[in-house]
Amino acid sequence: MTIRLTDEVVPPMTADRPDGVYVVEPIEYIRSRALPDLPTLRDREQVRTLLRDTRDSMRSCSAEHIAELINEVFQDQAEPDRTPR
Amino acid sequence: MKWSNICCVALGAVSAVCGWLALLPLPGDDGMLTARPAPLVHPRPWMLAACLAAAIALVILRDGRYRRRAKAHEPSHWDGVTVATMQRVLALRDEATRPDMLASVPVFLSMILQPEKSRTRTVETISLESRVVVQDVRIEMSFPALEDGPWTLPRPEPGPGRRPRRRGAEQAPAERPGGETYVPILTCLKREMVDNFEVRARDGALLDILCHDETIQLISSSLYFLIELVLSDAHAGAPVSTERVQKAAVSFLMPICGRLSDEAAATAIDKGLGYIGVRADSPCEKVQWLREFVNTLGEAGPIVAVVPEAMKSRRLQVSYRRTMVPPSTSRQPRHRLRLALGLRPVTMQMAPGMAHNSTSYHLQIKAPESQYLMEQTLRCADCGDPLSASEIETDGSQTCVHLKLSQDTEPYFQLLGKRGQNYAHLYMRGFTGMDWRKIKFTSSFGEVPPGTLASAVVTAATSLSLIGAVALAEARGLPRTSDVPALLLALPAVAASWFGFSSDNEAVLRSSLAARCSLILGGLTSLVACALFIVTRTIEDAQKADSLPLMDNGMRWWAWVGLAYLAGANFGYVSIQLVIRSSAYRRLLRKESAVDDNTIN
Repeated sequence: MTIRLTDEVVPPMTADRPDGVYVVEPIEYIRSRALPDLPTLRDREQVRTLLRDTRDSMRSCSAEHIAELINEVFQDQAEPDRTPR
Repeated sequence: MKWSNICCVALGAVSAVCGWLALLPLPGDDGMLTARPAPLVHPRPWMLAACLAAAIALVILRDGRYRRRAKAHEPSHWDGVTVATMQRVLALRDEATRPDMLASVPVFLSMILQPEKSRTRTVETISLESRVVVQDVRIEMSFPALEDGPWTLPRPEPGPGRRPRRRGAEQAPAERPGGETYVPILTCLKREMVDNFEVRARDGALLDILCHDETIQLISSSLYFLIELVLSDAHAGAPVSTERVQKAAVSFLMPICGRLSDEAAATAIDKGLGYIGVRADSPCEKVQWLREFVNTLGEAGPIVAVVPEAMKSRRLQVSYRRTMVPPSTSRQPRHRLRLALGLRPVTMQMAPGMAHNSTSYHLQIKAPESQYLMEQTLRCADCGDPLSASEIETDGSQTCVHLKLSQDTEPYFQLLGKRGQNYAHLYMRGFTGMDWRKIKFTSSFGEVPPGTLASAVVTAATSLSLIGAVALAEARGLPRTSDVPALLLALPAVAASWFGFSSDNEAVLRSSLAARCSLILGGLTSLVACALFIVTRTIEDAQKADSLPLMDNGMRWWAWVGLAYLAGANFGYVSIQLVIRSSAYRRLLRKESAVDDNTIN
């Protein structure tokens, strides 16, 4: 393929929604930049340990206690300057 | 009925009744032109103007009411997030610790946050169909096998209170030999909807989709996993209390379960990181993954397919369709005129974002059969410059740096050359990791000649010849012996109606503005000529009929000359348009190669 710039003068188009044009956006969420790889996810033993910790963490709190924690989180969110406790 | 409606109806009725009365002759009333005093102080014009003003006021009033109704709904900062919602979400955690669910977490995370690693090919087809745009997407993906995966946990006995699967499953996962893998296949923006969604395995079998609650369970598991991942680095040897981990999970789940404003979502993420003692601006990659996971699912909801582990092939094919009516706002008079005349845009612009989520990407933009591809341009969104076939924008900063690439390197893209076809085809490869918002693809279509332009030329020619002939006869003072010329003069108006307005098909919707304007102008010119012929008489005829002529001979001559010039200009302009477009189209048909060296323009 030959490296060649266009000969025709095409007017610049910088607006996101130019006049008289159908603009179609992707339906999917697309990240503007790719994320770096996580080497941890390739480590068999480490992932197994993390999954075990995940399971334990999820089972570690009773329903009554979690209701109290939710209320506290909502109070924290309502006050942006409040330091999380 | 509201008072405003009553007022509108009353105003409309008065306007209609008085308007007609102002135009009709009344018994004992002199004609407006023969009245003494002069027409300017005659009540009829003022009556007509008042009625016109009332009609305009009526339109403005109704339009204002529609505008008020169409006012966009402003979501609150905490849309959909309440204490009850969060309690319900967290109550699902017991089921989220199922072995199948946990075993799918690494794959789920990887495919949500790095979709480009699993998608081999994406084919997107955009079709302009009458007044709507239809988007068909087909994605081929290959996901990692988990039979011997590094993260398979031993399967414990089913926990108490387990509920059966909601959709499609014949047995509970733990009871099935081999279990299931949950694979996110699409992360659909929360404000969007898809139709005809299908997920098929390589053998063509349809796969189940997780229901909302099951998806939330999987998200919860993944979130706890990411928190543990971050903690494994941030607090080696200094464990964070369980309460703080739970609070962090609640805080991260808030943007995911509702529709928080950007500000509220950022606050929730920062607070969540604060609970586990991580700085909000931490550059750690694991924190970046956690933050990106919450950001992604705050904007979009994942659609998760259930893949039986007994399935040998690890390839899936996802297809879906979206039908939309894109907004077509316009400030330029030309485009406003197009919309006002019922024409639809013939230019399509889109960011080929899915090329950044897939190894290879095909984009086809299809117009109706009556159209052909006129222009296709890949541009840098920042500077607006078109990119050549060997040049691509790779810099994320504000200053654009366009690099020239060789043929064999990636990223690579190619456009199918223009050969008179009704579609544009863009192929992109190796764009993962680049800033997708920097590139815009634009394609515009034109009507295949002759099309409605030929109809407009025929109408304009008929109009010109008839008006010219009658104008010549009138100018030379030839005696009128028949009313047939009046009928003939109306013929172009009938033809314009027939060609331009009788059907509502694709050709009319996307015909050229020149053709549309020419048809309207030709029709109006003919109608005015017909009216002029009927209501004017020569001085001699008027004297014979003992009535005052509407115009003297000089005025009549100028009126006919003006109409003839108008018809001539209309014919000349539309003929030139037809010749130019026909030759441009023929040039495309004469091209030899399907893919040019530089196919951008």
